[in-house]
Amino acid sequence: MPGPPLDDRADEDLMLAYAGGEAAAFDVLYRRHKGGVYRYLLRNCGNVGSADELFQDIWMNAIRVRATYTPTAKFTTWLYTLARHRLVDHWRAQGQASMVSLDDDEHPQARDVVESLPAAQRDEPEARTSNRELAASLADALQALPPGQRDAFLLQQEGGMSLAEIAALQGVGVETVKSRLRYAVARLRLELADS
Amino acid sequence: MTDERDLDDPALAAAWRAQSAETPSPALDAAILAAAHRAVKSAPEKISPGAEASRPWRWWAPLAAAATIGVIAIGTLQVMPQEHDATTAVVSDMPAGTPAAPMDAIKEKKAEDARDNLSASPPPAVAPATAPAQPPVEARARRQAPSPPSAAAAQQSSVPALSQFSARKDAAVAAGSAEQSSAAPPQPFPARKDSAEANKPSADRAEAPAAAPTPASESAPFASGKVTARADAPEQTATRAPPPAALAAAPAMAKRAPRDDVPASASAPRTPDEWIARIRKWMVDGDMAEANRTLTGFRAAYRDADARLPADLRPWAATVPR
Repeated sequence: MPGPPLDDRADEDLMLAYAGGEAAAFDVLYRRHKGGVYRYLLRNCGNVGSADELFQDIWMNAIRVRATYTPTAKFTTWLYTLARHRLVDHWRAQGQASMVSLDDDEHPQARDVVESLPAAQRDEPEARTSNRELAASLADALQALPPGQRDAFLLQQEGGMSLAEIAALQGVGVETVKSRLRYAVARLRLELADS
Repeated sequence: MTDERDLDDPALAAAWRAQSAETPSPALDAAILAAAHRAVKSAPEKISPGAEASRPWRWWAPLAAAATIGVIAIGTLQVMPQEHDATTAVVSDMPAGTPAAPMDAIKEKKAEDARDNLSASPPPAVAPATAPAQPPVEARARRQAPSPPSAAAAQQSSVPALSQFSARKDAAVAAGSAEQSSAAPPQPFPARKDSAEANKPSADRAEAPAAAPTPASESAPFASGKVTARADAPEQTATRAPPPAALAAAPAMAKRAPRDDVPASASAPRTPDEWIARIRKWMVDGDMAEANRTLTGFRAAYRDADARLPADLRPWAATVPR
């Protein structure tokens, strides 16, 4: 009896199927996660060229180590772990030591900024996203965030990861992840309000 | 206490999703997907057991066969006897104008010897093994030389020569040595020429091929002995049969003595004068090795050989070890 269609199968099953020789399973996995991984890299790198290079490296690495994949965690956690390690290597090779250390929660100014940020404007949909200028300002605001906050925000938005998964991936506590996310969201919300 | 809205703002998420539409290029997608498919399809395939062995065999088999054939051909050429040496010796030793028909000469000589044996008296019962063909040769010498023979010719005619050519040469040398005081110095080649002219083919048909040189049989003592033995009585044939080892060594000896020299075993001198004449002949020819060998034979035949030597040969004989 044939199994469920590939599109209905979980990421972990697809990866196991691909490791077992089912090439079509990889197509589904790739289609599901290529955009999130690519944007995660693109927002962290800041340029398309480096993002393309890192993106290809990450997927090639996933292909190479497919036989050793074990579904002990979510596939996205495994995939973004590969991506983040590659990203750290990239930063290290670029000599961006400050980017390697994503610890930016000790800045006192950050807490002050967060406390002064307005609340979410969920009652004003017309004021939210209506034009591309807003999108560009968001991208600029994201680039202005400290690396740890930006990384946490991207993992949450692009990877769909929970606080615990982000904490495990970043190697910090959940509270630290909350602080990073709170700060990042506040800054971006401020950017939205200004625009 | 942290508000969940501060961590996940739906408005912000919507705005983010609206402006986050970047995706990798189609070329990058194609490259990654192709690599993924290639990695799966490049898994090790089952290999038939004979595949590895049969592929190399295809290209090096002809080389191995060619090399083997080449080695066999070279080895065969190396092992094959070089017959052209004997042929060269025969050709180089023949006097100009002499008909070259050695095989025919041998056959004719056999027939003539057989006829002579029928008419001639049988050899002495205790005749030496080296003088079996004396009666036929003497008979031929009488027919070939109707005029009174010279001392040297008479001396030579008593030698049991199997080759007329070498016998004539020996006669010329002996003549020069026997008449040292009155005769001219030894001149082997003119003497040989004269002797050859004296033995030109006569009306007798059997003489022409008999006079033709037969170097192969001359240089091979046992082969020549075989020719004469057929003309002899049956009991002598049995006593003169050479051992198999000697027969095997005959070609080598033929190569070693390619000239028209008659080996000592084929026409060994019987008297001291003949020995001395033979030694002088070798010395005149410049073949000191053969002279030494002849002296050794002389010493074996005569214990006082050195004392019988002329005074001029004694200093040389003293240098030849016994």
